Amino acid sequence: MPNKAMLALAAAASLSLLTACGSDVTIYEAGVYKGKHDETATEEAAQRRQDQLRDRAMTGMTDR
Amino acid sequence: MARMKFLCDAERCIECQACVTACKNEHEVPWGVNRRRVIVMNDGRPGEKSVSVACMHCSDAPCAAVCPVDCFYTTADGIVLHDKDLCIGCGYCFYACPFGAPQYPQQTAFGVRGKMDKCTFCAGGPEIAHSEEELTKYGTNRIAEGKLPLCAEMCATKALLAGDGDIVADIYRKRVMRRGGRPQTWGWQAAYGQDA
Amino acid sequence: MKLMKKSGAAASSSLAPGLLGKAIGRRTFLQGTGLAVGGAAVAGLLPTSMVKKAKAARRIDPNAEIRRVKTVCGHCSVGCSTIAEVQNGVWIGQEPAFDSPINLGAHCAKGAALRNHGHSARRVKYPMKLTNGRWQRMSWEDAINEIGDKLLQIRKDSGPDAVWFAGSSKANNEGAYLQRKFAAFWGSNNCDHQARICHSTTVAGVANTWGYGAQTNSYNDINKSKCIVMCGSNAAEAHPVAMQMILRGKEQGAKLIVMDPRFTRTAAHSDIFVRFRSGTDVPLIWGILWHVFDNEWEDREYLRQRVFGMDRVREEVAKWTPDEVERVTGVSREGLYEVAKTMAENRPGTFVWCMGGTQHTIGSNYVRAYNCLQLALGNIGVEGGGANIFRGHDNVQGATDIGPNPDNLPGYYPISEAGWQHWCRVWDVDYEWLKARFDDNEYDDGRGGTIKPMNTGGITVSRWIDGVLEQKENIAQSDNIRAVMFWGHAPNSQTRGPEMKRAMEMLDLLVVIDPYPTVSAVLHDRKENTYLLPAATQFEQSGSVTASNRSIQWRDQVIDPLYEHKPDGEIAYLLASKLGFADEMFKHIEVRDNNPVPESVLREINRGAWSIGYTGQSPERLKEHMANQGHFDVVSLKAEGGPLDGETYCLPWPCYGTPEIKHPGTHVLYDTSKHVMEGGGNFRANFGTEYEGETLLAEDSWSKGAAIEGGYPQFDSELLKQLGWWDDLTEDEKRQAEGRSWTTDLSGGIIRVAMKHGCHPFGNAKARAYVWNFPDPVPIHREPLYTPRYDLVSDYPTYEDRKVFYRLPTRWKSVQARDYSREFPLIHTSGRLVEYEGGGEETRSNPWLAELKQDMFVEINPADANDAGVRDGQMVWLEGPEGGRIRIKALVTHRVGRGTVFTPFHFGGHFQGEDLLSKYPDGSAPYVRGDSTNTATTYGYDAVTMMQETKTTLCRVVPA
Repeated sequence: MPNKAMLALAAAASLSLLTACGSDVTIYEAGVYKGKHDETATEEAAQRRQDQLRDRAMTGMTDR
Repeated sequence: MARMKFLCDAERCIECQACVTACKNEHEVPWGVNRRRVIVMNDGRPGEKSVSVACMHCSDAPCAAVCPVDCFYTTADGIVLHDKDLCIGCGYCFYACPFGAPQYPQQTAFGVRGKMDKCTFCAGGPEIAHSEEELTKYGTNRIAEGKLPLCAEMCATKALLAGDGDIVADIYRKRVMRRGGRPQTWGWQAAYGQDA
Repeated sequence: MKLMKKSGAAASSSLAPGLLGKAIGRRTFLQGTGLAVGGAAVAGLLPTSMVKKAKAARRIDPNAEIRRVKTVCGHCSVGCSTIAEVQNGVWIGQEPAFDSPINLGAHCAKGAALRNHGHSARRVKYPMKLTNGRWQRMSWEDAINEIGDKLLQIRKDSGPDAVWFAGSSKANNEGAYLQRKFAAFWGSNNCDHQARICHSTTVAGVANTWGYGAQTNSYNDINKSKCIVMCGSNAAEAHPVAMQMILRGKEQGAKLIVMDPRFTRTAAHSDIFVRFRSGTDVPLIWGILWHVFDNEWEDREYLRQRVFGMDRVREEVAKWTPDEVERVTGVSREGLYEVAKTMAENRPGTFVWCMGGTQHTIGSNYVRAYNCLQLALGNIGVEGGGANIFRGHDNVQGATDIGPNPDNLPGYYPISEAGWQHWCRVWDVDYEWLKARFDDNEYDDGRGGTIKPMNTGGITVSRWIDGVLEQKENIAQSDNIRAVMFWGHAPNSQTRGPEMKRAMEMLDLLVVIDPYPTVSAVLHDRKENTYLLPAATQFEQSGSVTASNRSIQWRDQVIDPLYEHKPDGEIAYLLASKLGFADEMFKHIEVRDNNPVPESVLREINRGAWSIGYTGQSPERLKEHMANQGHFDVVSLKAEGGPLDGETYCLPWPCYGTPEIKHPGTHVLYDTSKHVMEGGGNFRANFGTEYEGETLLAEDSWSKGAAIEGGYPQFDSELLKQLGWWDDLTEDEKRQAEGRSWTTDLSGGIIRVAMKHGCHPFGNAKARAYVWNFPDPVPIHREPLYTPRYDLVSDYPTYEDRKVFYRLPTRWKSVQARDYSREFPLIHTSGRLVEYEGGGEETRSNPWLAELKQDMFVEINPADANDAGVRDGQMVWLEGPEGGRIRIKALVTHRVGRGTVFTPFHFGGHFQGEDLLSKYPDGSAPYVRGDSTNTATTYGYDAVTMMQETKTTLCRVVPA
């Protein structure tokens, strides 16, 4: 069954090919944001405005 | 951490369009683009109900799930935003959105080549807050100033509520209890899930 | 021109009127989506340069200072505060005024779009005149000189009454007051404003019933109601922020009853909706009252103490059995029983009415029927009750109180010699001098005698066209109207459009003073002698404005006038100077750079308007209220603690006496449960002390703490002496009060002393259910002039024609003599949309609003549409029985019942199918234009006030 040997060889070759790609290629990560960083979207920014937004809601959204 | 939400109380909504013009005013949204609109069920008949609809800033946003270029992101307090520089205006998000929120201006201040435009919860986009770029592409950034979306802040009857989901739910719950009736929210479960 | 860099905002410059793709239908989700696509398609047609321009439209400098200015919305009488953010003189942002106890930051579509006023490019911009049919720019100086010369020539040839002025309910109190004063010093009563066609029947009806012509309670007080009845009021569109209080009331358990020929957006929130035939309110109300009396639900003790003549009403009501009511109104016995029972079981209840109840040939009967129902239930003069009359324009209440009215002087002082003498003393001008300004001849008074024009009501805004068109010998003044000045007025809100066009064309002079060109600029085919003067908006001047609930709010100036606009006060001053009476007119008013200072004008009003308590509201007090809005309770409008502790928000009139005695303002009128110095009161003694042997004074009822425990007449110097209170006056007060009444004592001493003893200066009387000085002392039903039920005319005929009424022959019976109902089978009724206001010129020029309603339309029931062969969205002709026809879009809906069609009255700029775009001055046409409802409306006027009939006429609808 020479085919088996050939397949193994091919598999080994392709593996080494993939490895050869190294760090030059970006692997596409589906569902991960690709745009610019938004400074106001961070945890810290959200934390900073949390109390202010809470007060604002209590002032503006309630019936008084 | 707070989680920003919209809620429209259909018992109070009177279809006055203040939310729509407040949005136009705040962000100078061009003619033909409607980040927010009021929809009516049973128009002109008993049982007539209206609700104000915009992007609901879903917890697990379907628009983000289908976007081929992954231009959507969610702020730490739950506002769904997108990067117009990346958007290709393909329209998949419009198909995915349960609320018909995404808009596609072809050539205006709000996007060239038909990039998608939608409600930002008055939180701008991924440009420096209050910069001219942000103002031009996304509108003002009230959230960064500690203010809530103007549509809700100016609602004629305080039907449209915006803010941290806990507070919004609390205000609304009190109202429903006073009424002694069933809640008349719209879109809440679709946007935020059964448990929210 | 300082704002050119804003280029009329993004939207206006990227707009191409007429190109806009798919028009929006009224509120459907799918059409809304379609619009987005259509709009995008249009935007795609624009050159890139426009996009760039639009981008640059709004620049906010993060480092420059932002000034925050509090002002009050100009689009309805609710009085919503808003905060304008101004940077480098440009209005860059609008923030909610959460502190205001009236709106708590809320707005409707119009209020949320106010900022557009700060940069609208659709304005008049500079003075212009028609030269050979084309608009030509001119200077203010030339304009004032030319107009002045022409006015003086007309005065010389035809007398002062040949000029007719329309003032404005949108002017601030100071502007409106100066408009009235201007007409007076010109020497004529020929001035009027929108109140005539808004709530004139209300003002006459309620003032003659219990004292004052105003909303008795407030929007906020509805929080306390247990039953809210709205009849001919569609607050969800006309007063949207009022719905905040109404829905809060409902959430607290109040029943909401809506009675209207249309299933309005307000009706959509009701517990009980009653649809009835337009034009049958009297039978409807008597139908309810029939059940009240039948079940003995009336408040007998209240009626005994505080109401005169209810027995005579009872006799009329007895005729309105449930069967007869159903025959006339179409409402079943059960339907009205339910309303009566709900009202009876849920007291206090409030009754709200608007134009649906006022704009009728018997509007003053409707109003008094509503009053009688509320009186029978004991609902007037109590918190949570009241006649909550929602006024229209932002300052229509103020302009009614102290503005350009043809039949009274500021403060409702009569145009008799006594009234003129009073104001001449306030103005410090010689009465004889003023008298000589008027035409001194006498004319037919319509009652068999003659009268001088100075003492007879001028021609009304509803009828000025007849002042032009009528034969000269039929008019009770020197000549026809030859010149008209529209000073803040939309002509398309008056009926009989085709005749108006003709009247405009016959004038020797037409002057339009307005921020926008208005339909007055384009309706006619005039070639010369037509001027446009750019007037500043409310946001470009400061001043006070009276909301529907009588609170007088202060507006700060947001921005300088755009382009070459000038404030009303300055225009009045320039014209008066040219006409030669500025020195007398502004004798005690401070004028800076041709600008009468608003504070100074208000102080003059304070010095004269004692009769309605416009005297305690000094500019300083009002400004302090505006600065401390957050201190006022939302339900009671009372300040709790702080510098204004115990005062009511913005001192709702009456705020009696001088500012120094600190009357707190009156939240609820005629409320005996409070001391007069806490805003308490009782019904006014304005009609004598007895009638046909029956007392008119209150019996066993008085306001809390009154020294006189029972009824008493109005206060004057004689009464003070009789009571032994004369010496409570200071020596100076005595000098001024001697021989005077509380309304004419310029020291305010009589008022001060009366209130010191807990008494109400205007006396303590009964309300009149029977108004003997009206054509129908007990309100009765009369079929509309154009009725679809001609079979009822013989049972319920209208009035006889009159030869002279407000100087003009006026027809009723001769119009009703012909049956039009076969050729014109549909009732045509009209009303408001939330997006637009009044004639709509301002709001249709605001792109944020205009986008939402792009087509004039008619609501038609599917059955009528099928009968007429009309489909939804199709263009149709709506034709009125007097020949006017309009080409508009059909909106097929169950909102209107079978047999009734509805049109909104805010459109203009088309005439009988033709777009008048080319007639507007360049670049100033509103984005949205359409045929005006009133091109197809008809003749018909109220027999007390000359209110026009816009709610019940006839029409037919045919495919276009």
